[in-house]
Amino acid sequence: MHQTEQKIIALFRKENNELSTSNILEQIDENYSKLKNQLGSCSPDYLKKLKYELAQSHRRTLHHINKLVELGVLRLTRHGERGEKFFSLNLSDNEEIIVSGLKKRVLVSKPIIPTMPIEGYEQKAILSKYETATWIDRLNSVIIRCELVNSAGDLYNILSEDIFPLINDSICLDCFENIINKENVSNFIEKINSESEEYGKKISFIINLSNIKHKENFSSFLSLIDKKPKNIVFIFNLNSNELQEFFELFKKIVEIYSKNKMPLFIKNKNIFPAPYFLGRAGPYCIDIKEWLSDDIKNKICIACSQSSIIIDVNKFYLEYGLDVRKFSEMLLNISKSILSANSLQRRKSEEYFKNIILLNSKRDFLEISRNYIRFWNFGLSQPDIEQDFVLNMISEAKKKIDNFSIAEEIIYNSCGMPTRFRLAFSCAFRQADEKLSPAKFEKLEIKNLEELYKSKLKKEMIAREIVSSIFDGGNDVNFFRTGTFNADDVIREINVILNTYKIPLFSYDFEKIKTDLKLSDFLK
Amino acid sequence: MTEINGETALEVWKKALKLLIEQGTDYEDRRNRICREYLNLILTIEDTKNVDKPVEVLNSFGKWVYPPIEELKAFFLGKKEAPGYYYHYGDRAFNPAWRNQVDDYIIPLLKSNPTTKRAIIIFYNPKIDSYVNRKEIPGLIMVNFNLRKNKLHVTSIIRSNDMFHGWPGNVCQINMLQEYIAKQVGCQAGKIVTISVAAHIFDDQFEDIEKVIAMKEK
Repeated sequence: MHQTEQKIIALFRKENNELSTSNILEQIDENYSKLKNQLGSCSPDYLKKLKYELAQSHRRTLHHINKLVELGVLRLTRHGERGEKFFSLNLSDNEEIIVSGLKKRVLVSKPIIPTMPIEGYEQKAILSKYETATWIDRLNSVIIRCELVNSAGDLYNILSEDIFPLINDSICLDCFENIINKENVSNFIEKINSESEEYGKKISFIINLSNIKHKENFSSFLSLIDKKPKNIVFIFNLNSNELQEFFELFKKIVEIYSKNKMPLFIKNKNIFPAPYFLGRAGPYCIDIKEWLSDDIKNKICIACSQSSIIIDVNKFYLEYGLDVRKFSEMLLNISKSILSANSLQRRKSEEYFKNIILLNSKRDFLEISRNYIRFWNFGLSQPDIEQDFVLNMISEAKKKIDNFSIAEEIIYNSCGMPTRFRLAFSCAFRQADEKLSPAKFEKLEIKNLEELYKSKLKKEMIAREIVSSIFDGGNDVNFFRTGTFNADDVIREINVILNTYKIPLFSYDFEKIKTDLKLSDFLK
Repeated sequence: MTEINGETALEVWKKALKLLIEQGTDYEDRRNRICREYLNLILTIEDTKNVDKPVEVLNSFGKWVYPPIEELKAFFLGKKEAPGYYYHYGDRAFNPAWRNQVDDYIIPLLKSNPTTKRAIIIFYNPKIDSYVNRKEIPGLIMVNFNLRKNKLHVTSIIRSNDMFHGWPGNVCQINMLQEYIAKQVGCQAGKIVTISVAAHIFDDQFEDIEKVIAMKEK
């Protein structure tokens, strides 16, 4: 689909109103407004030229608007006083637009979500469905195997036409170095970053440093980090040996991230050899054993998560105290609700996820996916909550939920309908839901290598290891690097973390580093 | 071979569960569960009017969520393989890529030759299923339809049948197919016979099974 048409649709989605051709032009074409502003203050000769350019711009946009009308995406609502045309989205109630390719417009009827035994908790804002409006008819996240995609162009088409409309959070591009090794990806990343912003999706690029073969392409890829792409995250997948082997290359990466004061994400491939990535809701991962099975090796696109619920543990605590029985009861109700959501989704999967089905040679893309229950403010380094007690409460609830899932799989199997029903636990990010209570946990700060050996930090790290073991759906540990910056030192610190702790994914955030030593620091 | 007859699905189900509890043979299955088994059990439901009653009873326990009737129906009468299932009965019965056994065979056959003994649908596909490492294969192998005195009777063969959690859903699904064909042919639904080659229950179900057996039929 042409970029202008995408812009027009995005504008209508945002405004959700009737718009005139001029309104549309002003908002999608910056040049049009500039030219229009010059109308009152220019020479007669230039005025003629200006009017010609404005008319050209008008005609170009009208051409795209008319195409969208032909497709049935927009409709002409009326003619204004001076004959100007007004348009609006051509939608009925319970319909939304999914534009796939130039010639198709697919209207999907919205599923009616049945009454669920979690609504009382929702009213109290203790929990929320992640992206309620698309809780059933979209997936949370998918993984694309880049080694099975021919080129950046193909990958762009897959993402923009097939995947973006079908997910409500995140896409993981696994083994992206395969594309870097084939071509310069600068243009692709710029385009995909812009689209991911428009569609509100997060994209994680997992890059195996040891597989980088085309150094020039990789250098130009690294230069993109300077542009601080908003919705894109690069995750470097490595182990301690590779860190040593590619020391110089990694040093360059660390320097770029520190210069831009951005978080650098590292996945420990020895601990977790399957995809592990980030969304707006929180981290995602895939069960290692299932990822390595032969059944899914030839699938380009595989679902990682179907539906998610976010629990604000602090709000639960304020309402019910640390009532273990009530907590387990709530989680069981969540599981039942997700089960019925999955049932609805399966029945309509042919309609909702047609494009993903067509991408793979085998039809089933849900065979290793899970549903997510995410926890916010769950007591980690939270002074007013006994951390061990909360973690134990979550851990006990997990056992019950796993038993429930197994029992349901057996029942479905007994009915001759073998299906999969799995629930993963994970942490939630603040952006997952605007109603979440203010963050109550302390940040993990590291000033230098020595701090990693201090008992306070060791204790904190062990707590995070425990959380990572309970959160089978992923956990994200952030180190905020303070003090002065030296790339060699940072790499040594990362090496210690990779070698010492069972943390699959962590970030090194350089937001707080000092570039120059101030007098006050010197005196300290 | 043991035969159990009854007027309703609930009556037949309760009798079968009682038989299994009292006369089944125990062994440990591949998932380490104690399985109580009874080989070659034939159940006949004379009247299919309240065929979903056992599902209603299971739902009343509130301990688990039984697949909704809409999903049972979509799985059995949905004509395309749906992602999310390891196999799909609707696909195997209706998909023209293999053979639409219902619309292109059973219905025209019963219309042209009402007393035929050839009206069978096979769900098991050796090309796909007969592999040692195949994860899941259909439990329902085939159904046979006999149209007699304007009533469409069904006989089905189920190779492995969990009589507590599975059979109630199975008979609902078989009845859905029976009703679908009966409507097309212009007759009424008759009896349902299930032949469970390996009928079984599990030890963790015994307590709930006893409750079902003790229930007064409504």
